[in-house]
Amino acid sequence: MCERDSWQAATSDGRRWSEHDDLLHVEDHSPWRELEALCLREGLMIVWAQVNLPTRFMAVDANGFPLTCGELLVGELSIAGEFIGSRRYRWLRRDEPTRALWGVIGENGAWQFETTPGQQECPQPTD
Amino acid sequence: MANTLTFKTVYDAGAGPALTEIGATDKLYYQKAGAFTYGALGAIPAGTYNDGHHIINSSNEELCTTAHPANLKYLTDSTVSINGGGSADVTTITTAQCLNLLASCSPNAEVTAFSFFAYGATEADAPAGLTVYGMKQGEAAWSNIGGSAAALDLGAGGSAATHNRYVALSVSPTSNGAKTATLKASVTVV
Repeated sequence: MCERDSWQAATSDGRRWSEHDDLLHVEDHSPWRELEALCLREGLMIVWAQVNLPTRFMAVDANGFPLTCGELLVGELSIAGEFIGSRRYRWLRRDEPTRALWGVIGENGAWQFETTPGQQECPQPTD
Repeated sequence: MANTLTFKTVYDAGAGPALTEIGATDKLYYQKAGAFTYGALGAIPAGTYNDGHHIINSSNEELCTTAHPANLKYLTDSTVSINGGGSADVTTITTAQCLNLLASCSPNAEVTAFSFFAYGATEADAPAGLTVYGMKQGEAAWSNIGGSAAALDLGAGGSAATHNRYVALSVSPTSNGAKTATLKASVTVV
């Protein structure tokens, strides 16, 4: 993957981060979880994050709330019908006390969703 | 490497039974008992359940030519007939008899949500004229998984390179005629 298929973020000390930074690559968890761990260790906050795919990107400011970046993998299989396909999306989420704001990007579009706080399942784009 | 989600099942295309990825244009096909027969002659009578399970390609040709995937037939909410056998508790269904949903992550990632359901005209709709029962392997009961509101929760999981889930399936037409459905799996990873 290249920077065009990744996430980027900045921390409150002014440093900028990428999913591909060697410092965030540890054996047992994802680069995003390592960035969260680094912030915890160093007393930092993630101030903005951006998800990128070759055709589009989406960024969000933290505004003091926790941010999370991840992926949504969708696979579809037909019973005796026509082939549908599989899709991959990148998403980011801002966890506010009364709601979670999601931004999702995929090959065919970009979407925003609002869900109840604490929801861990990325809402499903319809593309 | 990008994260991926693939469907696999155990069948034999001539090189021995193996857990095999279901190709991008391949499909599941359920029928009545007997040799593979695509179309009306293989139709499951309305109100009854599948006695045959096959993997077919985009030309509706059988791929599981030497040995088929296990046939799991709904009997009651808590029992199943496996490959034509007598009634057995659904908890006896093994992973090798199920549809394998494999999320591969590089680098490692955790699963925060994993869901699976069958749909028809829209994701909110159950398949028209077809009841689809499903269950996560190891659970104690089938459930009707038609429509997004009836999705199976396949569970979150800790950080790993691979995340396997296993789903048992059985179908029953509620009327005569060709029936189709789409199975949808969604995985949220961080």
